[in-house]
Amino acid sequence: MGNIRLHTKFIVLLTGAALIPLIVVSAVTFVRFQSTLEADASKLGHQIAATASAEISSFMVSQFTSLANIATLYDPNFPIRPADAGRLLDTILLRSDDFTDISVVDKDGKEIVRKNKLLVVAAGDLRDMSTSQEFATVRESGVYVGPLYINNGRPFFDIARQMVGSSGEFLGAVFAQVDARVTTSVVTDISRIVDKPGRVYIVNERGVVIAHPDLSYVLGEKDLSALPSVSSIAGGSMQGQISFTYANELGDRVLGSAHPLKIEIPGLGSNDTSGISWFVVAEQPEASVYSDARKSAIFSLIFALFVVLVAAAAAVFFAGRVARPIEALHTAATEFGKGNLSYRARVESHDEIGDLAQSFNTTADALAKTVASLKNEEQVITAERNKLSLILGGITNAVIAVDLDRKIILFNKAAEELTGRAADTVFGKPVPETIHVFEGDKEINADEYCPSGAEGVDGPVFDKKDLRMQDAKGREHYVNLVAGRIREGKSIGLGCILTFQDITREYLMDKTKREFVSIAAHQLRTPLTGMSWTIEALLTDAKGALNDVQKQLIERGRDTVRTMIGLVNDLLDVSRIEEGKFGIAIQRLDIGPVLENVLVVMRKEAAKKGVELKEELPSALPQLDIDPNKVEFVLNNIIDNAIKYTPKDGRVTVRAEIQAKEFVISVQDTGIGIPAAEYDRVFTKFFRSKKAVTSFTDGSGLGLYVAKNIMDQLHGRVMFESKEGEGTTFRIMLPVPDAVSAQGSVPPSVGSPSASVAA
Amino acid sequence: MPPSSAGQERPREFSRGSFDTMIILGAIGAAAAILIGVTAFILFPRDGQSSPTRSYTIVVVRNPPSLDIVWSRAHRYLEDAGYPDARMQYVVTEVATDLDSTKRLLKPLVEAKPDLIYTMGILATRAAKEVTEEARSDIPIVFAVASDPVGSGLVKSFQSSGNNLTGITPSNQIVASKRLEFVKEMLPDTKRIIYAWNDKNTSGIEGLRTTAPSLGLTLVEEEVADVGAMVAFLESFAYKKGDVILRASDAIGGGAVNTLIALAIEKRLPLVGTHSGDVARGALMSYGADYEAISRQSVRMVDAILKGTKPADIPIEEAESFELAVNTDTAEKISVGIPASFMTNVKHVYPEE
Repeated sequence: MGNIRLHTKFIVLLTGAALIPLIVVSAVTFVRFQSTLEADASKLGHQIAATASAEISSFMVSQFTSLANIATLYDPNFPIRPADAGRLLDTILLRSDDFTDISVVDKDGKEIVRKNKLLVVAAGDLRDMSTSQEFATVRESGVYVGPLYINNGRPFFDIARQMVGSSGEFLGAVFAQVDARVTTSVVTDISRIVDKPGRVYIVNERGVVIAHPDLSYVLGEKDLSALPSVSSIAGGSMQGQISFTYANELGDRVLGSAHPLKIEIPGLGSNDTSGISWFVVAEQPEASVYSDARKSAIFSLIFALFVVLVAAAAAVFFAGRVARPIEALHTAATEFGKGNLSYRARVESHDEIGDLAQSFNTTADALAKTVASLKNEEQVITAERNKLSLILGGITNAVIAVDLDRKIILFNKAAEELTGRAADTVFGKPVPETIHVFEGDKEINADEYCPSGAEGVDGPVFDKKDLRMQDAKGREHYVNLVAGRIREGKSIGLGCILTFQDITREYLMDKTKREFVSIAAHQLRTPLTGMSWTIEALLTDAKGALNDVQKQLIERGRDTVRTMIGLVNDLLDVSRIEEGKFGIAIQRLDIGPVLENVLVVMRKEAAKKGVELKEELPSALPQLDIDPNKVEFVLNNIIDNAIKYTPKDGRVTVRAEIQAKEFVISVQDTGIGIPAAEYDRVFTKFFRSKKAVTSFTDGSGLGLYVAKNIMDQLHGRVMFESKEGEGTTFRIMLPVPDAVSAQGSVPPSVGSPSASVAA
Repeated sequence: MPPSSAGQERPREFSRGSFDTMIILGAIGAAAAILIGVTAFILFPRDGQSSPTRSYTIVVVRNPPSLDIVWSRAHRYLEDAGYPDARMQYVVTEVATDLDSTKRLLKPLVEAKPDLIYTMGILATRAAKEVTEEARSDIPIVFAVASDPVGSGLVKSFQSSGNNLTGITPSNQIVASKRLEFVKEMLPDTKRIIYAWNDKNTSGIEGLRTTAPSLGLTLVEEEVADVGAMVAFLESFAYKKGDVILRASDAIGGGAVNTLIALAIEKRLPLVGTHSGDVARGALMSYGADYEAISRQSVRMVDAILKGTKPADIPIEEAESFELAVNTDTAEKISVGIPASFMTNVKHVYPEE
């Protein structure tokens, strides 16, 4: 019962309040009652002692009276014959239960006569007692009471009384041996007289029993001086009288006290002349002394139980009155906690608790309304969220939103598919733990695609294609990643939205295509080389002279083969570029000779076509960080195209100049131009203008693609401007190294055309 | 609190509340009861011993006929003392003619391990003592009547027997002489005392030998071996006027008492018995222990022993009182007159009215 209810506490409190004083009062009463009982017991001891003293005194008195009667018989003045006196003495002895021996001594202590119940006393058996202590005592004190002694299994004591003449003179004494068993019956009777259990016995000053209900104690001369009540009188002191509680020699718990025995013999002067010091010991069983207390204890117990029941009943009633409204409030609060907002505390008392319940109910009403409206809002929000979720789920791109700590707060279905992770498992986790994006072999740090600064940046903060990432099962995906910022207003960043476009399928198809092209190109080049060699051999007349018609045909075949070899080489270059094997070896060189190498060939081509090639080059050309072969390729392509797509009598102008740390080579033609609609595709693979295709069958459509890639790798640029039917200008821009530009050896621009070549 | 408004939901709450309440009340009540009970038990131990409820077996060894009165009274006093017959098994037997036969008789009874052996007379007591000694048994023996128990070697001293015996002595060996004094007083013409005796200790013969001459009497004594010899001696004795037969207080005298009474009346001779029982049967006069008192004394001892006291802790007691008895019928039959002064000292006069 860990949580004790208020109701229960009240009951315990109220019952305890009733019970504890009762117990305390009962305990105090018990203690007082007990001491009262002890006092009573002590009083009873005194009473018993007094009774015993009175009984024994009365017995003694009667014995001494008998002795007085005998004394009369032997008074010299009493008119009786000695024989008759002897017979009367016999009768007294035999009729008495107490005397076993009676003798009369004269004033000199000589026995005149002696009678014994068991023995024959002859004349010669008479004793001379003149020197005895007994005789001396009786002569001086008038009476004598001797100590108890045992003879032949009987207890005796001797008593004596003096005989006095009419004028008070000492005439002798009467001695008697008294059977002490009478005292046993006296102490036995006292217990009966006081009508209480227990025992009374008499001990002498040494604590030896001289009268006891059990005769064995007397005959055995039992020494009880070890008992506290008896030892209190040891040494003959007249103390004692105090009650002691102890276990007696039988092992019974008793309350005992000892009291001096006073023998009062009226008419014989001093009361205490007998010289005996006997003590009455009264013992009452402890249990009997306290039996009233026990009865009262039982009564108290019953009464206490009754009080407990009454108190408990009252407690139940009052606890109910007090605790029930509180419990009702508690129940209401519990129901509230469970969400039962319609529950109302039913308390109708007109006190603080009633007010409390009232205000509780009022609050509950208000709370219920608030909760209802909140629920409504929540439903609206939920509907919105579901809509958003549906939209996000419908988007085929993976969308992941992260907060400022880059923890994932949104993860749509496509994102689950892309990463192979369930949305539930990634919510709240930092995005770098969930997604690893690689560009080539290098992992892209989350700082790159979701930078913490740059709040002011509009549009995507990151946009890269062909990135690589792995899903949870280890499969590789190729993705395009666009990252944007989530903002509240202009300046408050809330996180990022990452959009992954899974392009794995397209990427792989592209790759397959590239591989096919690469293999095909390699396979084609060998036979083409063979063909070229054969044709060259025929044209050199090594196998015999050819006629003009033959020669013309073979030359046409040679041109076709050459075109094909060029095409295959272009394809191989494209393959290399796309496989990343397009090796570029950058070195710092004068651009002049490179340009010249190209122009040497182009001059011939222009002449052949009948196009004027105009060269406007500065006198001094700078050194640049370039790969000469690749630059040659680019220039070749662009100038060749210009010549190719410029009709006869047209003009191609090649210029070179330095503009803002860039070395710019422009090739301007007066050719067919590029339709605006095709601008976007100019640098893509296999691009050929529709016009070019119809007018000029020659060309692979790969040159500009390769050129663009080369320029990218040389950190340069290539661009064009064109007008359909009027001509096109391509510009190649190569960065000028800082050291070179600092020389200032190159003029900023060259205006004067140095040469004009016409085919 | 109006129940109508709350009635729908309260019952469960309320019943749980009242269940708690009952537990609490029960716990408080039980705690209080235990507390008070224990306190009362500690403070006030029970009083009163439970009265003996077990049953006892007592072997009673009679010595008929003279001592039968002792057992018949003792039996009654035992009932009064809380030993009803329902709980007591008395195996009553009697002495045989001699010690060895009596011992043979007692042996199987002792082997059955009774709680106590109650004996009357010196023969029964001695036999019981020897049988228990031989069986190394400490079965208590209470002897109701055994004169001179110390002199006979039954016990070590009056204060403590030192063995499994205790009992009461009628002190016949002492009182025997006193009887002569009463004879002289009652029948002043008495000249001779005829005394057939068997046991030197219990017959008091030594006291008689010294007392008789001091009273002016002649003691005619005859030591006899058994009842037959005693009867034969007294039967064939040549009596003269002034002869008085004194019944021996030993076991043989007790065994022969009825024959002796008949013989005395037939020969018109005064017979002096040892106790009032003899007079009741027809002896002229007796002086001796009060056997009814002896019965009471013996029952006190039996009670103490059955309650656990060792016999050695109960001192030997002398008979409580001694009394003079006279049979006036017999006096008439044998034509003797009794002085009135003597009669004042007589306690029992037979036949009882």
